[in-house]
Amino acid sequence: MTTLVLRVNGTEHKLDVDPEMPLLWALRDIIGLTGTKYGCGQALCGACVVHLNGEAVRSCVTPVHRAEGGSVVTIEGLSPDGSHPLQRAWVELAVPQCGFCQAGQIMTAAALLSKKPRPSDSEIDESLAGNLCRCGTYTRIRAAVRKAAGIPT
Amino acid sequence: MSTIVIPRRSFLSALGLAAGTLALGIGSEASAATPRMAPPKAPGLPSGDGGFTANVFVHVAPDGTVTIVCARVEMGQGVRSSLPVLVADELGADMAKVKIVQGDGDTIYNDQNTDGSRSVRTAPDAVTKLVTSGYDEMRKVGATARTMLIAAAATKWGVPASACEAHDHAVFHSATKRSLGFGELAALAAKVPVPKAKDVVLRPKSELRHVGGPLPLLDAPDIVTGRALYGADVRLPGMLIAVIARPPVLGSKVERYDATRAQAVPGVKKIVAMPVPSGPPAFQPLGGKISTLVTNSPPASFRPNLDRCASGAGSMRAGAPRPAGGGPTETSRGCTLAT
Repeated sequence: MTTLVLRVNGTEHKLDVDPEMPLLWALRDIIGLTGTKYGCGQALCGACVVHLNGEAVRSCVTPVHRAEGGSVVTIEGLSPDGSHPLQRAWVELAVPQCGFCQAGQIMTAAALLSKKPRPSDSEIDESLAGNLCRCGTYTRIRAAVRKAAGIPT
Repeated sequence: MSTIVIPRRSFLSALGLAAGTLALGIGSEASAATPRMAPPKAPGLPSGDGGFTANVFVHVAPDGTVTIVCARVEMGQGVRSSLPVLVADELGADMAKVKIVQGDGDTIYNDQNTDGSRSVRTAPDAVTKLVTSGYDEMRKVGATARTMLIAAAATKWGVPASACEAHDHAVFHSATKRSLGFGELAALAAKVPVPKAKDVVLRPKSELRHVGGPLPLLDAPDIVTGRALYGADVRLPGMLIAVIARPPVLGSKVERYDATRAQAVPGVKKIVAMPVPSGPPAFQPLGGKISTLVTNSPPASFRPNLDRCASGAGSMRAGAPRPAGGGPTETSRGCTLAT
């Protein structure tokens, strides 16, 4: 057991945990931020994507110690009020079906747009290729990313 | 695109209100004979506001707010929009004045199961228990409330109900160009006897405004902000979390397992071999498995590699720290729960 200090959505947390605990567990079960989802536990599906120091990471396979001293942003912290362009586009285009994968989709797309404000279609595809959606909302996801980026459809 | 607006905030606020107004059935013969004056068992609907509780699915408040219960479970199929809209369109409601509330688990709604994409296509009749179409049942719910609102207006105006019609959140008597809003009629409608089933007439489809068109996704704002609550997000006091080591083959059973190391993990309560199901799999769990019950606070060293199944073919990782399915693909000869 170690005390780790990390910043999550702007708030500092001191966690007394096994440093090897997956970041996802710390977020969901200890800090209580359940917006980030557990999908496969093996970095295969993308449901657990959060930002660690601005990079999209799969929190289910990221040991919490990697976030020590760092800054984590989850879907709950992407914007104060759901007003991030991606969140607005997601609602306007009614992207989700069941919604379970969508936090990971949005966080992956947000990391992309922060680096590439106007990505090409292939860059969008490449970026989101590892985020699975069992409902099959891919075409709406792509459309919403383009909309959020201000790319004419 | 859709112009329907369903206020999200109102959905939540409506949940906190207590029950108890005039209870009426769903346009059934049985309830038509003697309208019950006792407070209804209409969970989730507003009460005590002088409004009109037409049945357990729909309430009209004096301010005109129409509250509609979706008693089915939302699993991504959109029933929290589609079922209430069937009620609202039959009623003639303005969707901007409609609140949709979730019906909690209650036998009053009969079957609330969500499976097989059948919530709209089939549902048991609330009175006869016969399986009919949820599409028709929800329309009857709305049509019953509409019939009662029209009856209230017709009585007030001293005109035949057949000369009145309901749309745009009001009842109209076109011959005299009079109208009364649903809210204005609520108190009067609460005193109207429940119509007999044969007197509740569904609208022609051409009068259904939103049915068949695009509908807003009620939960989208919560989903995109991480507020939507899924089963796996619920934490109850004293709740234990089971981690399951699943067999790789349908119908397999646990030959042996060594729980020593798993049991030693801080927080682990008990290692349990689940009973082996018999007969066809149907909805049964897939064969024998091992369940590990852990406390609701995650044990610090409880890690994904806990589910390690040793088989004749070597060591395999089930890989799932939570009951999420998936597992090794070979016959397990014995599972060892390792940390």
